[in-house]
Amino acid sequence: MINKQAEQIRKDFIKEYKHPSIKESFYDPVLTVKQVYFFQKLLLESDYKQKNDLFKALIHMQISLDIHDLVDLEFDSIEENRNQTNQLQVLVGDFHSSYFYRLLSEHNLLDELYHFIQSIKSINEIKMSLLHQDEIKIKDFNKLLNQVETVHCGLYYSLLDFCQMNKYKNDVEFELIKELVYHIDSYWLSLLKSREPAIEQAIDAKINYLNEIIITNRR
Amino acid sequence: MKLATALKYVNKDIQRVEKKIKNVTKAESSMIQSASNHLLTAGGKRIRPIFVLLASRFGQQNQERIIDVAVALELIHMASLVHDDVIDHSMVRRGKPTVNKQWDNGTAIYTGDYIFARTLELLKPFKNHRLHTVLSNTIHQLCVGEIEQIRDKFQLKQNHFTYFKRIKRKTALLIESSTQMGAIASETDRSVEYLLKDYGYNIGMSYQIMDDILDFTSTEKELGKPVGSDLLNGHITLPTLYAMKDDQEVLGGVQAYFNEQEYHLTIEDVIHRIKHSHAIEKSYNISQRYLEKANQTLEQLPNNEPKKYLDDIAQYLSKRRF
Repeated sequence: MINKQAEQIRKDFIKEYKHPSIKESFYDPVLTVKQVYFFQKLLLESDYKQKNDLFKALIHMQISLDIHDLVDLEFDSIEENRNQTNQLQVLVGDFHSSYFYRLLSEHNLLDELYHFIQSIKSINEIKMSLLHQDEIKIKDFNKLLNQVETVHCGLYYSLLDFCQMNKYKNDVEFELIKELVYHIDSYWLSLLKSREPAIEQAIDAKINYLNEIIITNRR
Repeated sequence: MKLATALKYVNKDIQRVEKKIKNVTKAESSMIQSASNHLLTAGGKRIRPIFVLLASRFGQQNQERIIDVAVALELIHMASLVHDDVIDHSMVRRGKPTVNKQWDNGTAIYTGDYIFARTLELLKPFKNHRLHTVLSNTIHQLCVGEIEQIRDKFQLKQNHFTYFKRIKRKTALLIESSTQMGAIASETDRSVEYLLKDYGYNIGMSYQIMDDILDFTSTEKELGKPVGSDLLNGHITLPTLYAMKDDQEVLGGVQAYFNEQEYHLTIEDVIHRIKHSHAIEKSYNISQRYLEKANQTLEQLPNNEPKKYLDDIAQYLSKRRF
């Protein structure tokens, strides 16, 4: 399903936009082929005119959001290499978020800028709330999983809203969530599991539900 | 104090800037609010808002909009500071624990990211996309500069060109943007806008060189960090570049420190040597040269009250001790 074209686009994108002193492998833990594939797929389904500019801007922002999650919560003063990677992860995240802003400004896509800012704000608010969620209760499991889904899929939802693809959203939403949240090594799911192991059952239930609904939809 | 008179001139607007900065994260999630307030209420010189406000007085006034630009510039600066504190493992800023110290790195990073998005939202009422082009380019250059600063850390192979490029990105561009965006927001003539932009650039360069000199000549108490911190952290600034060129002992000492080798001078000896060398005077002269350029630009601007205050600020910055 995930095509070779998306893989090539990912490679070309990194080559074009990475800072010369940053290795390509630095992007291995972030920007998956699936993320590229879905941005491409949603834009291709839309009537939106400046697909390429918006596509690039969104990829930049997704990298920025994801790479910032990789920074250790506390630095270990002994591990010099890890510290340098942490520093670069902060900076490379900022670098790509500045590209997001720059591309949209250069192409005068200000409506797009203001639309996606709402989503970026809310993703960061959710991350902050998840990070400081010390006590997790069973009744909150679903709410928390929905929040993790927004963290990973927020920009995609926002794109569907911007392009007024509400009908298409119903077709693609479950696939998006399954592939971009539950089929990856999600930092946020791991964080919740580390704080409340019982949430793992809720995650399994969610995966089963998604699988069933995707099969039903395909029929 | 000349800065005080300039401040008095824009005092009412600065108070509005302060108020808006405090309100900017109101009614958002409690953690974002706590961390942002912790950062935003720590104070600061508010240099960038002052430049926006003064530059805007060369054009038409729409005070509410101008205040938004001034706040936006300060917020961008603060968002970069909160990330810098993570990168530098800083524990204290302006006498308060940093966000990363008070909470953790994640909290600091997401606060910075949130403030960045909130800043762009503040500029929504402006239909002029040049404002965004200027700001986005500046932020981008700032990020490139930060990556290159990490790349060049503890690297001896640096020269005046790399140094000037670095401080341009690190400091001058944001001050340049402050004066230029003040001009754009108040719809000044293009010629006035470019003069204000040049003024901001030259002031920013002079300011950063002075900062790099003060890192050697001030006391630990004044700086709030050890004397020679830049060098101790592996950053080569203008005084060090001059001193390494003029004095083989300094060159040897820095080389040994960067390569973790034995040398008959400790890094503290090297810092002492730089502090008492001609490198300080040479660097000061370069800073003054940028200041002269700023003054020459000022002369070409229309004669009015804000021009006098821009001149006062230039003089204050050239004479500041910390």
